[in-house]
Amino acid sequence: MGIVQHLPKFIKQWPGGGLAIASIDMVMNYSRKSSLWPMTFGLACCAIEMMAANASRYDFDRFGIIPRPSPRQSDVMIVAGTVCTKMAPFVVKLYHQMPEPRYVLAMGSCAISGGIFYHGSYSVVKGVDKIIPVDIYIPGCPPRPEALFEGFMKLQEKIMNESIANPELKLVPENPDLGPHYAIEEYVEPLSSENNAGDAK
Amino acid sequence: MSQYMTAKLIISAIANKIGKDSVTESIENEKDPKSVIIRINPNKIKETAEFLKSQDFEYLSFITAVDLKKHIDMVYWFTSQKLGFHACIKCTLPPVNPEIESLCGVYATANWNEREAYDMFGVKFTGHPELKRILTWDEFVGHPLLKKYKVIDDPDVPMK
Repeated sequence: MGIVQHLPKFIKQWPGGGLAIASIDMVMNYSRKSSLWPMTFGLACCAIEMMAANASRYDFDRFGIIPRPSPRQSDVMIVAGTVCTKMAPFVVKLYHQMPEPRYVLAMGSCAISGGIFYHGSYSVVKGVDKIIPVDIYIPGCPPRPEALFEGFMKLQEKIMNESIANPELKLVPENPDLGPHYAIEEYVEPLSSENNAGDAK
Repeated sequence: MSQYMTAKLIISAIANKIGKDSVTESIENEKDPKSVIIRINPNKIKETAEFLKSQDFEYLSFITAVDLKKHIDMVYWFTSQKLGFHACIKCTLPPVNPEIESLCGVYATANWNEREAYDMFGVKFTGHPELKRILTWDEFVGHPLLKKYKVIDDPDVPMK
């Protein structure tokens, strides 16, 4: 954020400094919310809905939402789909590569909480908020493009309420929870030959 | 082999090649005459694969394992696009320390398929050039598709 971070300290000392900060906030927030460039992070079936949202029928381009292929050029990360434990370090790395201010949309049940993989899965992170801070949760399995846009509108509301005077602290968990606490392999008594006779064929 | 491949023909050909005692079971499907299931001795799998490859079975569709608790089944599906014929070769392995010869030298596609079978079922392939996990990460403990594998989730949430 650079110079903007240090600006409020000086402006507040002026007479009428609050008004100046409010005006700067208004301009900056308005420009930020009007060009939200998402980094497409399609991990599973939610990505299909995200693609549909960006294609001509729903056309998110008319709201200034243009998908970017690189984290360096994007403001929002749409985590669309199941985050596996193997993928989790790369999600965190890409989040850190995005320039501030950065926002995260958790799209779909799997990104919110693990979804259908919540119980008994050996390889799924139980919600992307275990590894990176999330701004907006979009429920659905998968959410329709309208739901995705509802999420974007909520994010725009959130951005309009921000101020450079007290920026929101977003903390990345230091010890991210990457899935099942522990998995064990234990010996199970084999079934008797009578019960299992049919399986052998 | 001729274009008029039948299930009986391939069963007898394999039995001639690897010995009658090594073929423990053979199932012909009446509804699908262009396929056959043959259960063989696991020691003879490479010999069988080499024989099938020489008989126009140019494609190894997949390799997987099945955990039946009493034993582990290896399943190989050989396909001949020229003859339009499928041959499913099965082997029975013991449930503890299953081990079988690798087919990497015969079919190059066996490499990743065998790594997957090793990752998910713990079947050890002798002679595999790079037998390590392919789907799960390197630090992973256990083989998740075995019946004896159990995941214990968040202790606060009871498992259903």
